[in-house]
Amino acid sequence: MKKVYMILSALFLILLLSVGLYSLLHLNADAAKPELTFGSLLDGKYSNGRRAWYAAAFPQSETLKSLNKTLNGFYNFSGLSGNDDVQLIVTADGQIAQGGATLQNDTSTAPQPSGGADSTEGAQPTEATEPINVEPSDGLQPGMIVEDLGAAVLIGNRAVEVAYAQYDSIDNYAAAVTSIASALGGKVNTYSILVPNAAEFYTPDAYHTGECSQSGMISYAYGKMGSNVKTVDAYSKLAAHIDEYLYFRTDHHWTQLGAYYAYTAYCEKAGLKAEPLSAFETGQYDYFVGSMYNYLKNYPQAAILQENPDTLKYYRPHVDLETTVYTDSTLTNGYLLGTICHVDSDVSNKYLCFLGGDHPITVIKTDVNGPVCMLIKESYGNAFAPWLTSHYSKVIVVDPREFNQNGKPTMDIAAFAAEQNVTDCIILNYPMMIGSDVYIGHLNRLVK
Amino acid sequence: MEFSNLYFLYIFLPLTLAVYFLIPGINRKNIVLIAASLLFYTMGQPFYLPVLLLTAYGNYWLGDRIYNKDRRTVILPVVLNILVLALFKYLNFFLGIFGIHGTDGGGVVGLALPIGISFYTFQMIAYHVDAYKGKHDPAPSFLNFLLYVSMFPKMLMGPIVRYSDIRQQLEHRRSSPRAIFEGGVRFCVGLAKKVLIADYAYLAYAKLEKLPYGAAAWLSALLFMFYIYFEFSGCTDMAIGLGRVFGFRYAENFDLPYTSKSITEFWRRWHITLGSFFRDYVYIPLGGNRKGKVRRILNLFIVWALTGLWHGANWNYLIWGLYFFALLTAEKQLMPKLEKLPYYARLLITMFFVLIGWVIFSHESLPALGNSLAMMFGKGSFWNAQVGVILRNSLPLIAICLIGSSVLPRWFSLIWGGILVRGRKENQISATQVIYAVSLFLFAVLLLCLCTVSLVGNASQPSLYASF
Repeated sequence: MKKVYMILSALFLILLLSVGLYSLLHLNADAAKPELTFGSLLDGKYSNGRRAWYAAAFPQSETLKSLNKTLNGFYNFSGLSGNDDVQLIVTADGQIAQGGATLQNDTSTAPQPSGGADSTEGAQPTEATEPINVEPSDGLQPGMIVEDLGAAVLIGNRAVEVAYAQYDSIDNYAAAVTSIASALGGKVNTYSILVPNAAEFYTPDAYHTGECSQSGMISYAYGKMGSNVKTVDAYSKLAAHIDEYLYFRTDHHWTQLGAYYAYTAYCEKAGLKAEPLSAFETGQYDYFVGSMYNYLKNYPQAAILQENPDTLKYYRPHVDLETTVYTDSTLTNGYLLGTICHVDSDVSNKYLCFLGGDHPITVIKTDVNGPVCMLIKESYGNAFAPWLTSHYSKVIVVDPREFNQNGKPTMDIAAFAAEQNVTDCIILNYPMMIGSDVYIGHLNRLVK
Repeated sequence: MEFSNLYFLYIFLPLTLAVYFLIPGINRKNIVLIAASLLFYTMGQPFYLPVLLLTAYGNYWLGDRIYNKDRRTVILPVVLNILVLALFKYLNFFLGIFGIHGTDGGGVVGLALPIGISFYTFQMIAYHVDAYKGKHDPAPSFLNFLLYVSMFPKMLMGPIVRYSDIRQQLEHRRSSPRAIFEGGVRFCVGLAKKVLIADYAYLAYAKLEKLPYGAAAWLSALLFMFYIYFEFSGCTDMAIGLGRVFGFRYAENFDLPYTSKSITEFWRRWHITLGSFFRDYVYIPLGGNRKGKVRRILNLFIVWALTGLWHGANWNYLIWGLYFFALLTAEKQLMPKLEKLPYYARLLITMFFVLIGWVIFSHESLPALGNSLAMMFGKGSFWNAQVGVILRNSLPLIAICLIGSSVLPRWFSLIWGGILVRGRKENQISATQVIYAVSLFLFAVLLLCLCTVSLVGNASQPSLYASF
């Protein structure tokens, strides 16, 4: 028997060696390698990153992930119930919010001929949007901070993020917003717009009441903000139109129509006259399978999202404008992108059409003779910003996640706002962010 | 570095095994094993490699001097090891007791915990005490001692191996084909326990533990109970399996703890090497049960307080240890009555208290612990539709956990082996033995494939015990 054991052991070792050798020869070149620095080498981050990279670059990953889907189906049994029931609950982390790509201008800073959408309803381009490409790839990157933020829930053919109220964090969020308002001073009107997501309106009671009540979280947060913050009741406007297409079913964002109702609430608060929807030309992308599908695609139950894609309808600003993306607050070396961008048909994330995704700073200059507005936002703000163009000579969109940490550029929001003559500052977020300590940290670091 | 990642499985491990078995001579094999172990450690926490090497050399040097001169000075290396452990693991906790905190409210000393320090420090303490007792001679060389301390299969999560148990194996060992084969199979079983059960149990636990409902609290406690067992015993299986491949026999650490009929029995079956360490190096030296009832209770109190604190520098671990002290003390009084109960009643009672123990263990925040216990015992709503969905989602997992932690797999293994191998000589090839070996081989390959599929799709959870 010794020979049998020896042969079997040798076979096992040969199997491991063969897979190892094969994997090294067929690594997926697209996977992002960790950056080698002396610090990362010393503290183990580089080594950990290499292992994460090896796992991400492991050959035949699509086949293996497809098999893993079966495994996940087994471990996440949905029973024999119909499609209208809640099928699946998965922990939601920062990957949903952070895993998006951005559209980049390739090289040129010169205006380019406009690109359009897949199909348009008579829309004419108003500004430069091409050439563009997509980077980085979807998914968790080595070193990315991930938080447990709530639950990703699949209900029928819709997937939503369910937030759980974490009042300590919401206290901190309200304090961060108040602190920004204080830093900006009395000459700047600071508005807070907290908007619910789809879970609030399109789920059974258990997912939007009690600890999951987003109206409760928003009210609580508003109640904790200082008197120097003007709070905007976008919730009521959205709640009044829930039979319309306010949120995507396969993506965690709202539609631009959803953002429009928040915009009307803002206009009421700011004393502006909201533009009617009919004033805008529209276009649409017919096949959009978004972030919620990407997050849940390793579960077989999520196939229903792919089978029932969203349609993304956009409203093109009717003012002349020029949209420039900058990597830091010096506003140098920018490149032109669009407020409504073209997204290639092979890019799954159609939400990128709004501002081309998340960038450190996007400046939209318009031909409107008006004041300057600054929008501090995460990706929910991308569909919102185009509505502001009718009222301001300049809309400056700031993503706080891109500053003051991990080698990213510095930003003193008060000094920057003063330089840019900002008169209105809007801080717009959705409930997963107001409970996110990581995001709150980003907001806090804007104030020097 | 963890065992449950693709880089370890397909690059580090096969290369180490290939070089190890290709190089002749035990001394050279030992050097290969040391190099692999230090590389393994470096790939996790490179900045703490000097700490490992310095403490290993310091212990070797002291051990050498103590044995040759005055063995009573064993107290010195024991105290030094405790101080090293205290510096990295307990200093912030004890300073916090006296209200001394860092500027951000955290610890004063910003040192990360060196991985595996609780395991290798205890092994070095055992080394000195056993040398003092004359159980073994001091290590003949630093490399010999370094191999004992740093051997990568047991480096991160034990078991706590005593030098006296593997002294011979460090210098004279043979990896028999059967041991290599069975070690490999055991490794794959451990990997599957970690990747295919514990990781999924943790994900389900994480979903439930934040829901403020009684049913969620009970269910999350149950899933944590399974998670920690399959996680820790799986990693121990991997360690013991790899040890066998390299020709070592490490002590067993688990023996179906969730089949225990009493708390006393549970602790005879759970983390056996830690329990025996505290028995041999704390309880008995303190006098054990030889100095009267009061002293025995005091000794037990000390042992269980230390057992709790060994798991982490936090109040909940101390409470967890003392909780078992209270249970064991009470159980000793009630044992005559408990023994009259039927097996399943005793099993359920024991598992109830073990489960409550894991609730304490899993909450480092005491207010959160209080809240969780309150929800389990009536505070707020009990049921919620979300809990129902997660329960339904988790049913296959819970079934696997129940079967996997029961005696059934062991019975099956014994029956399968008994049918095919029993009574047959190993030096003869028989068809049934070949069927048995091939079936194990295929089983191990199947588990490895499933783990690979899972590891490509979902990153494995970091091992909890590696941070103790």
